[in-house]
Amino acid sequence: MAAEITLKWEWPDNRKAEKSILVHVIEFKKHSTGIFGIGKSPSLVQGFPDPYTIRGVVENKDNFLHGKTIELTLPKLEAGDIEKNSTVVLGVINNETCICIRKTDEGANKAGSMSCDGL
Amino acid sequence: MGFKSSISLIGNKILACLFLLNQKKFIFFKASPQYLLYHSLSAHSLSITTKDGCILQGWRFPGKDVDCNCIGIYFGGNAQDCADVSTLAATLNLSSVYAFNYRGYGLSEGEPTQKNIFNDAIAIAKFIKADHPGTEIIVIGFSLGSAVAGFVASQTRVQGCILVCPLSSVADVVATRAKLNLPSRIIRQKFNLNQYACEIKSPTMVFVASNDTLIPPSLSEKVYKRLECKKQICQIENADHNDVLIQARFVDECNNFIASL
Repeated sequence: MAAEITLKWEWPDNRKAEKSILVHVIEFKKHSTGIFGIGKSPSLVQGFPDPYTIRGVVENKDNFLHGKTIELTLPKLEAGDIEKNSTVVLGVINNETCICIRKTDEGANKAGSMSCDGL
Repeated sequence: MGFKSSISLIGNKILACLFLLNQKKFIFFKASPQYLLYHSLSAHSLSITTKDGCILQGWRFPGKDVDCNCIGIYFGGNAQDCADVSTLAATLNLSSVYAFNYRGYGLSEGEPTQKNIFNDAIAIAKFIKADHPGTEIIVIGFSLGSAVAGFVASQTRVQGCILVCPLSSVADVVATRAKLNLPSRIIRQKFNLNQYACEIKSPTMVFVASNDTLIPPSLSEKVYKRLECKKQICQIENADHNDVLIQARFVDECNNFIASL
């Protein structure tokens, strides 16, 4: 089933995240490249090296966001040691693009003050 | 009758049947909820409950001229999430702009039909008038929303009406774009602005995008010709249907029109 929020990945390129989203990871797996590996094409949005998909649930205490399913495909290198049941902070710009990700042990009540700028 | 014309006739009938069976899907492209955008705009969000118990999601966006005595009500296109209107609202010389998602769009409940949308639009106008006594209302409709704004302007007193890329009727769009001449009785979601445009009494501005590939400019001009009120038409050069709202000239002409009211 499609996630309620789908983010695309871009490298930060000196940009600062506008929003921090705290996510409990429920699935972390190699991104499917589809039949005959069509999804491996570098011209596709998710055609970066070694793509992995994070699927999780938003933990921010917000009426619009709390409990929503979220999905992000990103290069494995950027995901670090994230695994199932990790809690991560996503730095988001333009309401649709994740530019940084950080594993955290902080609780949901800290989400508002979290930032992954500079990573 | 030749072979080719027989095939064409049969094809036309099949397409007509498909349209008849799925016309709501052809007309209403329900916008999926944009939760992150809603989160960003949560300070402006509001909702109203219709008489039949449906909750409609909406926003009151600040305009450019907060001291102005005019409020805008925006009615969106058939695939538009009205949360997107915040940027446009900030450029208009209005104190604020209200925008509500149609039923089934974004987080609004229910199913969209012409009847529901028209009833909801009137209810929204009444709600805003009651909430802001003494304030003037300007209705703004884009694409399908122009039929809704036009309907409100034909049924209630408003200070002005702005129709952006208006369609004369769904039947006209189907006939022009799909080359499909359907008997009008089989189209249930008619949005026949051409029929009630003559009942609009307030000054009306019609915008036409010169490169509109969705609603041919000729259909918008047809609406303009049907208007019997004080009216203006403005063609936005090099604009297509989906980028007309972000054109600088569109914003300037809108503000000129608002100033003239």
